[in-house]
Amino acid sequence: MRYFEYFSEQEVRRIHETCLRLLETVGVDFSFEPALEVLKKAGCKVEGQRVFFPPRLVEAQVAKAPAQYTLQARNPDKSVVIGGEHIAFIPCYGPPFVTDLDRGRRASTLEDYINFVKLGHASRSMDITGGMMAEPNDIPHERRNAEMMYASMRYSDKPFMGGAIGAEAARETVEMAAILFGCSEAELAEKRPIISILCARTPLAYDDRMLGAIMEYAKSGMPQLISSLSIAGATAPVTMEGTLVVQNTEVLAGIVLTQLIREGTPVVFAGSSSCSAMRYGTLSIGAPEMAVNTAATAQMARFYGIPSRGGGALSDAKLPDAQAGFEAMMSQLMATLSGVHFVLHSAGILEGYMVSSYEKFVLDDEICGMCKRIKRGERADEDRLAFELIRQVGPGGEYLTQKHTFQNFRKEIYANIVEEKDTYANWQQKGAMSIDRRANRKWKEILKDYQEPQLPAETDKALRRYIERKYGA
Amino acid sequence: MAIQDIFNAVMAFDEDKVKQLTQTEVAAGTEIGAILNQGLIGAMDTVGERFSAGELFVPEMLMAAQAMKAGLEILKPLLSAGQAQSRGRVVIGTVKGDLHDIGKNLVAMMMEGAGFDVVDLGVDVASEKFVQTAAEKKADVIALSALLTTTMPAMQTTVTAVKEAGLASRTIIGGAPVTQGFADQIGADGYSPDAPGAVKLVKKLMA
Ligand code: B12
Repeated sequence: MRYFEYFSEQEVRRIHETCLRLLETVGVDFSFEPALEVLKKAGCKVEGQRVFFPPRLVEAQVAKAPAQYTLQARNPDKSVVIGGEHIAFIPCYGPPFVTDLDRGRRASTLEDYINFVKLGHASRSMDITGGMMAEPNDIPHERRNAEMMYASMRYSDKPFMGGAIGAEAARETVEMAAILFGCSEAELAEKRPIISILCARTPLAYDDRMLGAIMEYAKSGMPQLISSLSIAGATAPVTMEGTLVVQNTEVLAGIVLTQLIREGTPVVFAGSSSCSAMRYGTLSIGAPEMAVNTAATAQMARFYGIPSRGGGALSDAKLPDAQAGFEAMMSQLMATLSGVHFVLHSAGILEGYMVSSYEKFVLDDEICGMCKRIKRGERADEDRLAFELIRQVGPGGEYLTQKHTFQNFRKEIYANIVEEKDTYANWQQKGAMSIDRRANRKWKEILKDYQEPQLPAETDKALRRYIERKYGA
Repeated sequence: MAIQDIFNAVMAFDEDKVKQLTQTEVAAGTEIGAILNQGLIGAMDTVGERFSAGELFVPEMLMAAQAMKAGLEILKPLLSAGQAQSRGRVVIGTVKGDLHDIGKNLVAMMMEGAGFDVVDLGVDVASEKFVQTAAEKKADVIALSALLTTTMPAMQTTVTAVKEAGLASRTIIGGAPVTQGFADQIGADGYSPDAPGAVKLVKKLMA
């Protein structure tokens, strides 16, 4: 499959050069002394918190980030390639509210978090169970990261995302992962079972907590998304080109820091910039401009030879309705067609990252399945062109009873999870359910049938002991 | 008809023209109150209505407010004590530990546009700083913004600190995860889900 490219090669160069000029002459603020020291030592000019990057340094450091690497899962069959031809889907991240058709919109709890780990685990399209799919509002702040990590480790054997709210959360995540894998932290750096999202404080800044976590993960050699969420018309110019330049500049600055701390430390070139909904001044993520940014991010990352993040099943809708469906498919399809490697927020998001929806999780899972089908690609070789078969069947024949169909249809044709494709009469007979009701039934079914992957009893005990020692029983 | 021209210039977001026309009117001896109320403020009221109706967008509303302010600057030295009084003073900031400021900025800009005196303390603002500034500036309202569930408790700390300091300032809160229920729970005087609502809320509290 060939990727959709938004800009010409010349334009990509011009964008890159504009970013270098910004990095050199305008600079980026780093409000964290240890980061300033590293950058100064590497040859950046530092004035207060403002760091000015020599273009040669930027290009040399960015070139050190690997183009592809593997996140090793607890279950080796579920390890995930980041980069190359692969697209990885990861569920919603960060919302403080959850919603479902039965209980409505409410503050999320640890139970919701665990349920989303289970849904992510059971999904055939989610590669990584995620992180902070729902904020566990019902447990004390200090304890939240540890409990989320424990749930991710216990309820799934897929790779997962690490804590990112500061250096302590990063450290804790690494320590717990070492317990899970029963290995040293040096060995963990070979396995890379976790990946985390760290972000710039747009426009053109990084704050101390993020920098603490970035440096901690970089030291440990753990993969991280260096992410920017610039908002056209609010934190960045209203043109998507100008916003791309702000985003790109922030991401480059962050990646330089990671490579200076540990050469070759794996990163993802992550863009999730969008625009303001100018009628209200709020952020809009279900916007065509966001889709533009997704395609542009993928292209810029390809230019740098680093895996990219962009897109997601993004929506501003309040319910898992038609708006949620078309917005989510727009950005998910754009991510797929433009060659993005890491798609955060691939399932569940409503209200511009404020809400995780159980029903939308299932509906988005369907979108992801379709996109993976598209992404798989076709090969126009002799076998698949099937000339011989067409010759045999000839004009006026049929293919439904052909052995070729029987042997290949499951591989070839996407099998839907909740979509309605039956006849009108049958649909009526089955209760005439709308898609959100079907999704409601589906997620309950998945949770009911969920089977916990095995975790050695000693490992489980060691993890619980770690948490209890730190935060009490 | 010249006051209508000022009104029109605000509606056309034309800062330079507003300045120039206001100067001309002042020189011609037109009553200052009329320029202010029928020209400048009248235009902003219409802008507000068209914004609420979804016809005008945020950047247009803010540009109109800037044009209005340019005219107001010219009138200020000429206003009587009563006329010159601002609608009230608001101290605003994002609470401790929180760096989100897009929504807070929008609220501050709209309040300024509506004629309030706004002191913006920025982000990551400690409760002591809110209390101290509000006391110094004799703030009518303290407006707190938070976008993280982890920093919402800092709103409670601040609201409590304001009460304990015995300030007369009212407290209002907002930000995406904040709800009316939370405002009631921590004893804040008001909540609004958006910037236009925040302006209305402050007007109501000051009435
Ligand atoms: C943009 C953004 C950022 C930007 C902020 C840039 C900036 N200069 O402000 C960046 C990328 C830096 C960022 C960082 C982080 N963010 Co953030 N961010 C957002 C996002 C996507 C949009 C916020 C926004 O600007 N909206 C647009 C404005 C206009 O809307 P608003 O702020 O809600 O304001 C309106 C109303 O709420 C109201 N209002 C606001 N303030 C006030 C005050 C008063 C008094 C009143 C009456 C009304 C009022 O009026 C405004 C205008 O109508 C939100 C999700 C969301 N949809 O809200 C996440 C979100 C808030 N962030 C989140 C998180 C987790 C973070 C980070 C921890 C890191 C991370 N991993 O992403 C850091 C924390 C940094 C810190 N210490 O504060 C989470 C919070 C999760 C939670 N459980 O609490 C959210 C929900 C996203 C998510 N799902 O992960 N973020």
